[in-house]
Amino acid sequence: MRGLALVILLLMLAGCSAGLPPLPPQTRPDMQSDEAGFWQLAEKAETALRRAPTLIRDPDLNRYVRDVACKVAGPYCPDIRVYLVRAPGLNAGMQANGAMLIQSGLLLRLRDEAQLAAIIGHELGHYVERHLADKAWRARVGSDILAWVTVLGQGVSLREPNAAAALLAELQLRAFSRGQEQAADAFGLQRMAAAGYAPIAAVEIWQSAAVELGDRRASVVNRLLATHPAPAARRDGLLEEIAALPVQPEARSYVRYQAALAPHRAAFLADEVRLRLPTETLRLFQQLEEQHGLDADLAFYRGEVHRLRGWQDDQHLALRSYAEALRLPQSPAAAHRSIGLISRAQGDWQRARAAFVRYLISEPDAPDAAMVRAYIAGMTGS
Amino acid sequence: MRVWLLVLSVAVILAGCGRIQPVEREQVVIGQGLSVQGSRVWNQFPTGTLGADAAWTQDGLPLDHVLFIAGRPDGEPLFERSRSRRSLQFRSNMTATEIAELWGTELALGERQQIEVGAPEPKVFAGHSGFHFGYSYATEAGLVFDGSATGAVVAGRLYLIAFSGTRAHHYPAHWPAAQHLIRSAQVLVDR
Ligand SMILES: [Zn+2]
Repeated sequence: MRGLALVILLLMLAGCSAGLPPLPPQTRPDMQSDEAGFWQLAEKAETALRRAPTLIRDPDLNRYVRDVACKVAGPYCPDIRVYLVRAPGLNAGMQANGAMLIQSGLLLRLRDEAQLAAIIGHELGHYVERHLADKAWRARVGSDILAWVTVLGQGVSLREPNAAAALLAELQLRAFSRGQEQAADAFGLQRMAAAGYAPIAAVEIWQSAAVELGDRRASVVNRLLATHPAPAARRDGLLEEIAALPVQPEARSYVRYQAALAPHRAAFLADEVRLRLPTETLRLFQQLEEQHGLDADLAFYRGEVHRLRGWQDDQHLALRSYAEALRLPQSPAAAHRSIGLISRAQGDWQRARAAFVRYLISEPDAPDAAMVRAYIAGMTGS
Repeated sequence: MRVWLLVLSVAVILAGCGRIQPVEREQVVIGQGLSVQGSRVWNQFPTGTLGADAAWTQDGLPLDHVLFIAGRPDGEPLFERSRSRRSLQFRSNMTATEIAELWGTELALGERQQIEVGAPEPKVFAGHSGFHFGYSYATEAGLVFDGSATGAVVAGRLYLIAFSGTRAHHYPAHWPAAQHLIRSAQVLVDR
């Protein structure tokens, strides 16, 4: 009897803190509810997103991610759409209506399919648990929404057809509460395990992110961490949840994940380099090397980070990375050009000329061939 | 950036025409001796707008703009906002390849997305051997821009004129006028 009372009390408490009950599969909120308003806004944003120039449209990669998402989502598969967006840095998000965003920088950082499943499971948790419609959360962002609606109402939307998308993106950056994050984590782990993925993969994502960022939590590279609890606290919570899981499956699907990523990987690496956040990017590349070994692209782009940073030791470190890249299969011809640029800056014209010539030989149709020939011509004598 | 375009739009609307000066079709000197002459009237924003030495537009900065970098010396960034970052400083011994890379980073820091910076090619600018490269990017609001940068390093200083406009309309519509500005460029320094 006392046991029953305790259960009832727990249910009541849970009811108080959890807000809305989970959304059943293939269900839309009541048209009269506030939540339906959120959905409509999200649908508008999704329409814009479908036309967004930053959307990665490669059908193979989209099909692959979609398949993983369906495996994880199970009965919710028809309710979610995954959008892959080209941008460096680590971010993912979920809109109220089931539109999920995964940024290319996150795909670059994930090791395998199990880690991708962890992200999808977590974001799905925010959807099923209806966190975007939660009252407490809405109260926190309410004033901002009003401000935005005011701006939109003043006709700026005429100049800015995708303002709804911008608004939604802004809302998505608002932190969920710690309780909501834990709930999304727990949900995600259960879905992962049910789909056969090793749940420990969820912990690894946060550990890697923590290593990459060091003490810089919120930055341009990391919006996900800026809106989510500190990695250490998160790891402990996840480990507790994992220990409580009834099954401990082990699937990782490393090869399949990396094969899907392969056609895009060099471009995603270049996106990270361009941000010129050398400390973070070198830590990221170090992690990628530890996970996958060194390949020519990774060695080349590591060289680029050093070259663009240009500290005392960097020219030397860059040259060493380019040499490594050139020893590996499928080395990019641009490594020769970069050696040329550094040698030229060092005043070693002979070496610079030789490297530029090698670049032109290995890439005779290079679009910058005329420019590189001009560099060679400009270094006469010595 | 999500906010940037909106804020800018609002700013443009609010600012009315108070601080925006028309540039007539006459010779104008910008920054450290970059002289240009337009083939039509441009709207000029105050120095420092978008962090450049001058920003001109036909239909409004969110839709098209010419940015001028007029005599950037060694050790200074292309744009004011990057002053604190050493790796974003212009170096007078930079090649066009490195200047184009710097441009790409500045676009990324302005939260442009889907950035493509084309290969630089040799081009005479203001009578000096210089370079040209194209670029494109998308704003977070989903507008795609094309752009074109032409410049040269003269006596250790960078002179550059970059024109950006929406791919759908403003770039093709105003490129001839921007090109006229670029062709008219002169660098007024001791040779
Ligand atoms: Zn979350």
